[in-house]
Amino acid sequence: MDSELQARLIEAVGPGAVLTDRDRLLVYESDGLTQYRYAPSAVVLPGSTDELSRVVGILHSAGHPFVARGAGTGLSGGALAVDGAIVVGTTRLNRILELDVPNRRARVQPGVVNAHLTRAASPHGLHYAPDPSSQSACTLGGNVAENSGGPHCLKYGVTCRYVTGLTVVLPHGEIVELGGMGREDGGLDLVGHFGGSEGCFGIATEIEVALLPLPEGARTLLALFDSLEAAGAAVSGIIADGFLPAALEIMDSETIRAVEASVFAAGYPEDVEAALVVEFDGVDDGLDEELEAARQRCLDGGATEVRVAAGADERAALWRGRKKAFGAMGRIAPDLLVQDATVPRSRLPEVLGKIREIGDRYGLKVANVFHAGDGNLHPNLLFDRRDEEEVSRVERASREMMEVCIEAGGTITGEHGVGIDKRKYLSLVLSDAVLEAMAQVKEVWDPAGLCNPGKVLPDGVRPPETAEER
Amino acid sequence: MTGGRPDPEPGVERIQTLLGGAAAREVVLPGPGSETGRCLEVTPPDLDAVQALVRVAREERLRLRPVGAGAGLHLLPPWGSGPVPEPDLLVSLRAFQGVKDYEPADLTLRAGAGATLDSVEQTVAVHGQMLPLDPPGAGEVTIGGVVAMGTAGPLVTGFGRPRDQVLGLEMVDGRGRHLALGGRVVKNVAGFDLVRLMTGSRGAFGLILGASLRLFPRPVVDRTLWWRVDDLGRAARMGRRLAELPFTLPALEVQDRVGQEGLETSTGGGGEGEGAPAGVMVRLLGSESASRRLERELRNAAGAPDATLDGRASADAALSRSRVEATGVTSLLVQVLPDRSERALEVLARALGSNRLERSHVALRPAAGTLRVWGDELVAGPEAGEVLGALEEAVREIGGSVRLLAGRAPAEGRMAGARPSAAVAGLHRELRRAFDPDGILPGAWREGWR
Repeated sequence: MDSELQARLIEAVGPGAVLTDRDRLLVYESDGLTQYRYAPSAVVLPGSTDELSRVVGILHSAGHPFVARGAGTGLSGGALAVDGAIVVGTTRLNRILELDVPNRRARVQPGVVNAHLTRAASPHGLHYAPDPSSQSACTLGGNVAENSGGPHCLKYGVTCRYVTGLTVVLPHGEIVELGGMGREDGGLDLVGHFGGSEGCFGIATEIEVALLPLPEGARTLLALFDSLEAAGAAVSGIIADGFLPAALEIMDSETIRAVEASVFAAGYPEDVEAALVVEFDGVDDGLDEELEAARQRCLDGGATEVRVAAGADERAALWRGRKKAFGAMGRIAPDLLVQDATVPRSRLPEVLGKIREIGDRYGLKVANVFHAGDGNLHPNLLFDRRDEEEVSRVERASREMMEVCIEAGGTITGEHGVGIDKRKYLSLVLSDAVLEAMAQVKEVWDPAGLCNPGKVLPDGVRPPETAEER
Repeated sequence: MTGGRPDPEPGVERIQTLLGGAAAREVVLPGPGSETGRCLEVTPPDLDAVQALVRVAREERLRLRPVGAGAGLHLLPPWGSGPVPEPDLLVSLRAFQGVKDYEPADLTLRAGAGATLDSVEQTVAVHGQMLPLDPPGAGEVTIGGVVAMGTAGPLVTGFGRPRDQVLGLEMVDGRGRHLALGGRVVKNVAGFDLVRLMTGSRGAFGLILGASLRLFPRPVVDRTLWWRVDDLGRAARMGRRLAELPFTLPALEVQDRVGQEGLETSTGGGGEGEGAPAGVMVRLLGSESASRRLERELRNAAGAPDATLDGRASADAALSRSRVEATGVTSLLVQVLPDRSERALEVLARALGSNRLERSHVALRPAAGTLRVWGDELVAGPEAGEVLGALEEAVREIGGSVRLLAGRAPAEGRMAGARPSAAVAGLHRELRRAFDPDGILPGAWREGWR
């Protein structure tokens, strides 16, 4: 970064909020997907919407690429600073601006940690429903950018369902208001369109979300199976029985062993092939009946054991194992590639079998932990990045797994986003015409192409260029 | 308005030849917002025909308007003033019928744009499932219409907006490109979200051929509790009280007399308070135990309901309310924060005056802050423009917005309408241009609004 640009950024946000020291930049060279590393040329940490707008305006006029970053928990490399981009961090924008209890809504800055919002809302009997597994660290700005999911999205839906309004700094620095509860302009749904745009359309600096009443009660069970396919079939059975649980989560034997060997041990037996967590929530009345029906379905489907959590502590323990599964895997291999794909729920057993076969064929350890109710798979490929040959097998196996999911009518990412990692797969699932249309909308939002370049769209995908085509 | 545009006749003839005479008929342009006239409606039989039609429309600079059940796109564009751009040709998507890829265990299906909500509902009901979309117009509304308009009904409280139920869609855009967007799985973030951009875009980007939708298990209980109330304001207060209970109610509505007619019919009428000027309805959808519990809470908060409808009767009454909301020459949509619902109703009464209000009909969703007003004479008369202008100002003062959905041109001329910032207007314009560079699909847009 040249000294003039640096001086202008310092003038906008103060000297303490512009990081250029190499050691400090190291923290930002990777995100939750550790096999990619790109050191940013600087990190800027604005403290307000106005400051962020000034920063983006300066970078735009200097023609310098930039990328927004929250907590850096993303799993597709979406917040990486490709091409010497400058990171615009939202760390200081961490205030809950408004908690509007009668209207069940909150207005927050993008750096607010997901779980902190529910913590603030729960004394008022409210909660923020989308709960990514990283909710104790990930930020709402990142959740909006990725349209994040989570275990309870089966019943409650993903992030975009809850985002009702946004204040966005466009890639040239201008601040715009989109949507907002209580206003309806009848125009296009730009709030929904911005959601999941992976930081490529601008940076959200204020986010208005809808909150829900806290569920009065919850019931959780853990069903153990001696095959992954049987657990997958039980999931379809529960849905086919007419139930919509709050969550249906599966862990395979590899994951269970990793969890049990870690500090997050939840008391799962290690000699089973799959564990299924089923949770119902809502009005307390009727939850016991629903849980009993699901328990019976699991037993009919070949569960070797079903444990019902007796109280809040046991529930929390069951969930701790599930939510910390990714962290626990650090014990079994130096590196982990968390894959993310969705298939129609009814195809789960078949697809799980094929994923196992691919892992075996490539001699890779694959640990599955996933949102089975949504058909959202997360095969975790364990490897050592220092072993180039193994890395190459991971790459090839990943691609085959994506192909299997697409073949089953699914898609290449359910909640982690395309980022840098899945650009190469996008054309497997989208036609050239759709990719071209996506390049066009990117150009509409970011004509200069400075806002998170090198993400989402594959190389070579461009809007139609000829004048008469425009 | 047509200055500089070529004569549409030769283009229309080319399309007629292309599709064959059997696929074309002359119809009266629907909708009170239009300068009523006649227009040719064509029904392309398949994807190839739609693409060929769009190619000719581009070459001949024809304006197309997609039609489903005819309930939506004649409605007024949201911004600016001036009439709806008249189409040169109506394009019916009724040939795109049927339900595909329906695997009940997946709780998803794909439906043609021309399929009605009723037909989809019947298909999924057999498997104990439901499609929680209830826009005004009830079961006659087509899937294409739901996607194009993106209009929610009372079930929005419990199930979310249409945009949350549309998983994917298939369309031919204004460039003639066949776009298969999204997918048929419930979680999908592969690329930018064009599905949400298209949902509610009022036909501005392309002709929608079909959509993949999310389904829900049909609850064991479908029960409507109904309280007759002797005054609309009091009903609104009661509605807010129920909205503040610490539960998510699937649907909560406050209606005036006309909205209750379906309920009177279902219950056979009679009893104390029959023909009451207002009512509060709560629709419960869930398990027997949960519904019983919610009913207890509602009774504690609002007293015993005047009637309880179960099963088919509950669903039919909801359809009847939805159908009645799509009637009327003029309709308004007032949107405020939910806790300002009662104030919005007061503002409305003051601005319209009691005479006008009594001749119109009102439906309020107190948990969403949405107020719909409709009637044949809502804004009739020479002073209508002034009335609407005053209403708009008063609603703005309480932080809300008002929009004329359908209405006579002289009346709407006085409303400022929502004014997007230049930057937002620019985004709309450029997004539209990306998909429809020749402006053959004016849908949501007025001439010169920018």
